Amino acid sequence: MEVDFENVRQLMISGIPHMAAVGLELISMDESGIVGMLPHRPEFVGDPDTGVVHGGIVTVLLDSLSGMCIVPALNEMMVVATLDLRIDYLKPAAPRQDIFARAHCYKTTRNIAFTRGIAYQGDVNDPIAHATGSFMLTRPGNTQTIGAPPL
Amino acid sequence: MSGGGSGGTRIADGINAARQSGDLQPLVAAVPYFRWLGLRIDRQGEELITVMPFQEMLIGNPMLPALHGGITGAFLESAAMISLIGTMATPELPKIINITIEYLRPGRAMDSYATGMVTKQGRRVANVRAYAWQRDRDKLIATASTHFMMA
Repeated sequence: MEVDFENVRQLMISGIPHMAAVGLELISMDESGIVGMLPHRPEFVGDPDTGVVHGGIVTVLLDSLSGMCIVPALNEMMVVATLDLRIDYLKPAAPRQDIFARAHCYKTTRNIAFTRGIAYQGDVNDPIAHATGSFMLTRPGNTQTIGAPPL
Repeated sequence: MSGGGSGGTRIADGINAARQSGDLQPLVAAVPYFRWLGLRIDRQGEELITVMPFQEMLIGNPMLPALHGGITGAFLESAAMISLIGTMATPELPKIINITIEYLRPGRAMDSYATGMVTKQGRRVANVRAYAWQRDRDKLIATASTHFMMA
């Protein structure tokens, strides 16, 4: 499905309070996947001795992009709800550096979408985290089955 | 390096202080990300319940409204870590290896609670299950299984 990138970017910044709160920026989005960036903030730190960010902020980034990357992969507008998300933390994030992430939807069925994503800093081939997600798809109007928020 | 005690680092001070007093709040105060989320620890007997007070900035879906799925994951990871620290003998911060989050219900615009159950603590790796709920503890909003590396 074609998406208006600028429209989605604006919607995310102004329409989703937690996206605005963390300052997540969308870089690109099409059927091959989505790329985003989280600018570093001191309040993301999980270990004050090393300055390394808390794993939770990486989860927020990967959860957001994994849910959003499904939209351009669909043929029609659907409500997307996370069933599960697994994150492997591959190495500690470098302190005080922005975190990038990309995610793509590699399979959709009638009811389910499956995604993969990575978070990285300098080198996309040396990621700090890897995510695998599955999402329930629901046609709008059939909202009784919505289990969880789309993002 | 800060002074005070044999640990030497700020996190070790926080963990040691928490262990001596039985109050884990100093640890929460030492971690910027926990402070930003406004986390509180409520000790109920042996159980450590982590409380995430509702804030507007935690919303991921303003239509429902519902908490951001990533923040639910971050909260479960935090509660798992806090419950694990409560059972540990060492003052080091455990490091997350991976987390699998299962989303069961939308997190509503209200305070959230979570606790971790250490299912196995080995010499190097600990397995922790975490559970999150809101008004009714029998209606979990999400669960997680996590692995942590001990030091």
